[in-house]
Amino acid sequence: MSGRDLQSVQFFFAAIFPFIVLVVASLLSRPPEREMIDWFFGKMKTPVGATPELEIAAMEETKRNPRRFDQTKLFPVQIGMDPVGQDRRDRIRRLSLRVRNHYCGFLVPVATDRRDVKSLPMAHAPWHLQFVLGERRSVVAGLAEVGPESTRSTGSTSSPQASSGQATPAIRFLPSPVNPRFAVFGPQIAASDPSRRRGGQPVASAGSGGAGA
Amino acid sequence: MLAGLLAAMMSNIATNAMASSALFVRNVYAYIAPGRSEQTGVKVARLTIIFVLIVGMFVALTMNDIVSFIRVMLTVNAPWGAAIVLMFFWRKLTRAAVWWCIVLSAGLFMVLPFTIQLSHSMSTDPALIAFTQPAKVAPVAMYFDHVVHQDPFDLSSPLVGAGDSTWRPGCSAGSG
Repeated sequence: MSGRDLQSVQFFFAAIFPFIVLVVASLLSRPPEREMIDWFFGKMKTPVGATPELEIAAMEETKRNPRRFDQTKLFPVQIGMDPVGQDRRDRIRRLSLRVRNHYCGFLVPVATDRRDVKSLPMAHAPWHLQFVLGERRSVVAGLAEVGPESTRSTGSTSSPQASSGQATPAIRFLPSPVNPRFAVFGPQIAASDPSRRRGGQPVASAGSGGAGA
Repeated sequence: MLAGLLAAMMSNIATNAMASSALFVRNVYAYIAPGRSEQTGVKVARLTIIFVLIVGMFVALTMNDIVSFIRVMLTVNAPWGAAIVLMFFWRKLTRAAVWWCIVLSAGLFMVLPFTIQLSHSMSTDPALIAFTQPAKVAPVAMYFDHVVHQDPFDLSSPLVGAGDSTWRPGCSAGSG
């Protein structure tokens, strides 16, 4: 081992050791009070209001329901995924479904080269995975009924697919049940692009009808 | 690279000095002298900043070189950073775990390297004062931060293991 390797290993160990101790000791020690933790995270995630009155109202709402931002967790728990009251087989089945749909689902269309379903699993993937894989914006909006591929092909008349008359099948992006945070960001994006919203409901983009035909 | 690191650390040092003074006033001074005015608290905070910076200067004077200082600074800050990161992202983090992390990390990265050089048998053990294999870079000590001659002016003196600080009994500055 050279001196350079040794110093790299030393830095790596110095960085990873505190995390290991924290995780192991936290799992072995008594967990903190649920109310205190809920209040801490609820207060931290309460958005700053435009006026003091709005801030007070938001904090009152957080006091009433400190867990109202739980859907913004990095790994949110879905409704119905609570393991309480489920038998072991059901828990394993639900866990395997979650792993398949959320963390491995995007590999299926890639492996099978099915472009028509390329984005479907991603619509239900956790937001950080969508962000990493570059599909964040379309899903964040929660308004698009056609995926990025279809949008690009129909939005640009000079694209090869549009010129050849081969339309990509319509892909409907559902507002992800995993992360209702999209509902927070959606209207802001929609406001900047009013053509994508009609009467408060999601609408298909200009070429989605033809794309779906 | 060193200039960039030092420039980046200047802001860290400023923040740490401010944070340490605030922590001292809120968590120590407020218990020692409860009911004091905010003006008094600000004065104490300013004095705390001066004290912290003076202590930092003395610590810096005992360092072998700038690389040792950077290594110590990164190593010492790691457990605090880990605790703060997990505090915001993991709800199962407990207070006891943070204490264990601080104590174990301080013991492993600060107390142990300093105390082990005080043991004559360990600091002169041939197996512990071994060097790495010479490659593109000069070999470095494997288990100690440095391996130096016991008398820096006598290259025939025996080698001993030493830490990052130059302050150690029976041995002067120098690095192997």
